[in-house]
Amino acid sequence: MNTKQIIERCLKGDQRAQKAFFYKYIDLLYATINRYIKDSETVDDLLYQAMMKIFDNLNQFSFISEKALFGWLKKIAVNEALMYLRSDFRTVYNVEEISELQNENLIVADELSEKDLLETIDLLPAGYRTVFLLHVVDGYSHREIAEQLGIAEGTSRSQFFKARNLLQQKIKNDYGNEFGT
Amino acid sequence: METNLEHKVAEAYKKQDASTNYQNKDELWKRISNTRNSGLPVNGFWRIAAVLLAIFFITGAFSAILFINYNKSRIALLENKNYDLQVLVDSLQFAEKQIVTKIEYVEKEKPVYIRVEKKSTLTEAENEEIGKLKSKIILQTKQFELETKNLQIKTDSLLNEIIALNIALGNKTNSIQSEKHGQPNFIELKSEKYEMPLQQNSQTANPKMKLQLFSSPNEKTNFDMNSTIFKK
Repeated sequence: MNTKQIIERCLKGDQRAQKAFFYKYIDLLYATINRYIKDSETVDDLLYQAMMKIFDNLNQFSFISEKALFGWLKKIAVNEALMYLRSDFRTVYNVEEISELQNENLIVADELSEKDLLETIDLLPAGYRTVFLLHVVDGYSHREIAEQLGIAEGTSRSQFFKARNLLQQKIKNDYGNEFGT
Repeated sequence: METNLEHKVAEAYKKQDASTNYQNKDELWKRISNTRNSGLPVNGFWRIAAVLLAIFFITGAFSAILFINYNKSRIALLENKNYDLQVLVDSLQFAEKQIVTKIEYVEKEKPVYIRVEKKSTLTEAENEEIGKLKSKIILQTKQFELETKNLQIKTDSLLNEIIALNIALGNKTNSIQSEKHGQPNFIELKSEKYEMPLQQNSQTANPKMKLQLFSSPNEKTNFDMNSTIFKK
């Protein structure tokens, strides 16, 4: 049974199809939300809300390709995470000046493992990390990020460059100058 | 070898997403399944309830319409019956009462009149005719009684005249005989009871009259005055 058939049967209320759909895409949704939210209970709640929203709005989605479905599912998951972050007043987005030097291309050595890189990103402050990941991983523009988070576009930009510089700094500090230039 | 930071980060996350395995997926599926499937019976219940309610209301409305129609027809039937009865009552109320005179013979020659009210089945013209006839009968009866009295008086006077004439005739005969014999004419009066034969005759002189007096009132009585009075 391919994805299109699963979706059609889900729309008819077939529970087995819904279960198949859930198990097929829950890991993707979890990975997406878990990028922004680290608290496991919150992630469970957000996953639940995202999955309910997906099932409720599945009739509005017209299946073209698996990639389009991926994008639609990720967008719903990201929106759920951002809605949570938006309501979480602990996340602070500071407006800071951006120097020309901050806009330069940053390079890291291939020897730096992905695991180390991801751990370093997780250590970034929540505001920086969110904007950085939205822009780099999920491909949001600064305007979209500003709309989603309810901040100014300039703030999104500054957050992004600060996160980038901070990440570079951390890599240099933790792994030496040869890993980040 | 060196790589762009953003590119490396994106690749790292792409690989991480592909290898991510959510541990609580069974629990989450139960939670979602319970929520989604528990909603269906509720919806189903309300659908069935709505259908039953609709059937109930439709049936109720239909039976109400039938009941109203039945009542209307029954009311119309009763109204018709009431109208018929009203007509009957009116006809009975406006029917003229006819007084019928019934004669019972308690004693000889003494009729007893009893008034009996009887509802007339005759027409107005017939009633009027009967009334006229009745009054005519009464009038004729009175006339007859008067005539009878007059006749009685006349009969008495005639008898008296006859007696007087007889006496005169007797006297004359005696005087003629005495003239023939030359003897004085003496009249001898004899004391004897005299019965009036004519009076007796007058009582039984006309039996037809008596018969007509006691004829049945129901029968049409034709008093032929000429035959009773002048035919004598």
